[in-house]
Amino acid sequence: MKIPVGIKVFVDAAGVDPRYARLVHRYVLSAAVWLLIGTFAGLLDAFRYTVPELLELPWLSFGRVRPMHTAAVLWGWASLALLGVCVYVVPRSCRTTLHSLLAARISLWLWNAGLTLGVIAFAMGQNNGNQEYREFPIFLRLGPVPVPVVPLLAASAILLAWNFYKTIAKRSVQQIYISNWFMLSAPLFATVLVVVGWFPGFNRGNGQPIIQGWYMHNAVGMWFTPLAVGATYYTLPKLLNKPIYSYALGVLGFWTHIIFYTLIGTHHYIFSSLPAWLQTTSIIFSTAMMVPVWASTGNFLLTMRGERSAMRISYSLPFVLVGAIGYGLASVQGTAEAFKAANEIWHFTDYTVGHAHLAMVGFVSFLVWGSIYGLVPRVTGKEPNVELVGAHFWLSFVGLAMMFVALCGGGHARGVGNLEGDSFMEGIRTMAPYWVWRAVGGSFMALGHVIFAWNLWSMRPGAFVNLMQPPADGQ
Amino acid sequence: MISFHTNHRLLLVAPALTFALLTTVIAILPAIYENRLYPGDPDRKPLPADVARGRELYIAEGCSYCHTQQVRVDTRRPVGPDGRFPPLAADARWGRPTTPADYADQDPPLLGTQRTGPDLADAGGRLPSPDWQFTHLYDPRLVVPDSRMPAYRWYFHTGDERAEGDREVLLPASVIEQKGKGFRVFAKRDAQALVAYILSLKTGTVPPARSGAAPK
Repeated sequence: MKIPVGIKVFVDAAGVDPRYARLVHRYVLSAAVWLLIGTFAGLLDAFRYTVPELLELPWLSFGRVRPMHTAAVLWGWASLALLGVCVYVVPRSCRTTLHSLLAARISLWLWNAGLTLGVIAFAMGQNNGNQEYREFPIFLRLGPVPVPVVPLLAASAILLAWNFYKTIAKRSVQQIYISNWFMLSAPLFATVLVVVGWFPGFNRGNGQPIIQGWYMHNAVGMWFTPLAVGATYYTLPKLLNKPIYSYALGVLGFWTHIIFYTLIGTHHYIFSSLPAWLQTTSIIFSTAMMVPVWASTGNFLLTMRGERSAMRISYSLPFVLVGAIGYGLASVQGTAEAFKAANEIWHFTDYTVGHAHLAMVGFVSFLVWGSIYGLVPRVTGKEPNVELVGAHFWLSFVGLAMMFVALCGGGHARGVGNLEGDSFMEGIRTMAPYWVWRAVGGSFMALGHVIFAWNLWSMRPGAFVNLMQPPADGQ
Repeated sequence: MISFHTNHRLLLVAPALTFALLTTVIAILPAIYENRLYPGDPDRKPLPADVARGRELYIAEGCSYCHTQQVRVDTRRPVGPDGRFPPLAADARWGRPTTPADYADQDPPLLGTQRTGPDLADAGGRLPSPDWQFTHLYDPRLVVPDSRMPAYRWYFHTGDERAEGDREVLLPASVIEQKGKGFRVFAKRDAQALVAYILSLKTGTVPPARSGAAPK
């Protein structure tokens, strides 16, 4: 039995305001451009582990490309893609129109401008003290002229939060769907992250790693996680055409997430000079984190239970399935890494890098891809080539698996070697073949990302959408 | 009545406020308290100009992405005769564990979270030869064959390009053998600053006092 998905998508997109369709598509298309920039930056550095002389340009040296990679994939790709999904989900789940198309457009370009200036700053050797995931300087110094970077990103997030709030406020349904809880809160969490993260007072001395651990953890946990989980709470029931397994689990997940995630930051500094009580607190709440994680992962998996036939014919559901499982696995791994016996072996090695890729690709990116393939055609009226979506899926899946096994396996081997008294250079030689496999896996992923960008381009709003008359209720 | 599912004002304020309050308790106040507890050396002089410039370059080049400045401490084991916890077994080779007072005067300190290359907390103590550091910075594989570190050749002049302020690097015999007698390398001012910074990183055997005063 094959459901004529194309007809369904066409009907969904029929009444859409073409300006709104273009807006949603531009968010995700911008995101895809940043994904390509970030992926190739990462790939360049990955190959340098094997060929250190590769492309010896001062402004593209390893240490300058490293923050370009993380900033482009985190703040460019994942953030803009999730915000694009929010621009779709918030008004749709509120059964209304987006409060301001213009404000959402301004947010998009402020964000893109901030990112571009930030990446230029890295190339020029300007960054915020190598502090991971908050490397963007407040101002880019072009000669004597300071150009704002972080203020542009902050303004964009605040403008979006206001836009989402106003949209939710004028909803035509009484209840606020759980997706909106996550999507309204995340930009506000981000505002707290920016204010605390770039505030000069406490980012010095032994106080700095306290803030850094908190920031690093919550930049992921209070921005990407709530947005990706919120998106899935909308996309999954929509694709399966059935309600979520348990709404109450979603609410439990939401509140325990805010409380438990916030307290975990110091687990990035186990055995460090930070106060023992902070380290212990972080380990305890790293375990408590399993509650919100399995509330969401479990909820998604139970919603998908018994939906094999839908899984077989849908090109978006497999991404959601991998993303939901990826969330559970990445989180369990994160909890394990916080325990002292494991941290002693794995910390400081490539194991952590493997974990980071499982979280940002296997969890966040796969859920975002599921939402993009599932939702964008409903607003642009155009579906991608199914074979090419399959190629994207398998290249990303196999590439990530190779990278994950190489980095975590190699990191573990090097960590065990450290404990057994291997010399430092023996550790490097241990990692050498694993670094090759990481670059090979990364190449698979890069190819997958190119195909994804093409698929997204093929889903751009077509001329026929413009011919449609907007119905009385707008979108 | 608590009605997050119908009251959007409450939904706007409550989660963000919860996050902000918990952040204050778990991050902001502990950070402020920690900096009060370890205020740093009151008589501290500013870093010499070349060391300060070197630190800027260390940050600009993203050295912390591969090099930690953090020797971890094993609080699970009994304290030694000096009353201090020993270093973590995997970290013992990098020197004594770093303490809060070590970071007190740094803004921001550069602890790092990944150790692809060696720890540099005691780099100046372990490898005090400036010429070794220059050669290594020019091309790490000249002195450490399996090294994966980028070569920072643009911090140097070679051959007859020598400019004002350059310092000639005394290359190790093995390098001269490999490259020929005519091979000469000159460190530019920035290379000299970077090496001055690396050589300034010394932990010694005794950590500084809580006040930040140098150990006796």
